[in-house]
Amino acid sequence: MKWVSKRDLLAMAALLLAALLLLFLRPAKEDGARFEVLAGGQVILSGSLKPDREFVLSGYPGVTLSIRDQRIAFTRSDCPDKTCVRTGYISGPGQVSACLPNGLVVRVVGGGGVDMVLKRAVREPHMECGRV
Amino acid sequence: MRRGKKIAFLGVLLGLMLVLSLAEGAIPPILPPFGRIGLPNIVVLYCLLCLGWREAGTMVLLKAGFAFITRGAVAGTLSLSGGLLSFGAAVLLLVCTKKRATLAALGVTGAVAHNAGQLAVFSFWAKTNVLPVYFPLMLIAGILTGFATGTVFRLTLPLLDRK
Repeated sequence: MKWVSKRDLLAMAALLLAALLLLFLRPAKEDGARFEVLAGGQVILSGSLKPDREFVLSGYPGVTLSIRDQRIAFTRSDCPDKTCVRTGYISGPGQVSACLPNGLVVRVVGGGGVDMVLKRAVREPHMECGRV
Repeated sequence: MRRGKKIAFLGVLLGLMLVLSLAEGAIPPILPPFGRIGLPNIVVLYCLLCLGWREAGTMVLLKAGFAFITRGAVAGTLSLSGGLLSFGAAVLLLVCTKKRATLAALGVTGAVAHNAGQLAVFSFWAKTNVLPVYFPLMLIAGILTGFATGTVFRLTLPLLDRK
């Protein structure tokens, strides 16, 4: 079978360009952004990304969240895969970090609320998912 | 191929697939969550092109079953959705092009479909719709990794044919 055709390359280049355009049309970081913690799809906690702090979620003694320089991350978790910890810090509105075994999702939201956030952007993807 | 021999061969392929997925999991993703190269997909492509669609589909289901047993429902459904969608997309591409699709096109289609399926299931588990936010990244990662797997497959095909 053929490896690659000229048509493939053209199609891939066009799609890549379109995707990059979509990426660059979106803002990355926003002042006054907040974070929300969701358990089972419900917001159980929300707050400002200032000042720097570290806390354990009530009801989840094995999970620690840390806030640093207006960024937030799972820094400790009792889940088996630790994908949430490896995700690292997230900062831009719309970014998501999740600990699926615990059913927890942390997301950063901007001033415009959730609907605005979903239309907005991320420059770096951060979530638990990937080729399994 | 005789029945017994075929079953043994499929078993070896499944083992290869699981090892590839394990090895891939050990490397931190270049572009989380889609940075995985998708090496197991090469085995599925091989089954699809050289053995048949039934064999390829079986591989996808068995791998998802393995993920389900060893890593739980979340990993199992992620594997199943990504696997089935990329398998379906590859079959569709082959049918539409009357089997003239190139290996790179098959790899890219599979990878993009795989990412889309996993994002959808992730949205379901997290009860947060992340598809609009992650769409561009999903596309970029799918194209790059799919092209890579298609190329690796092209390089390994002559070796596999020698048997």
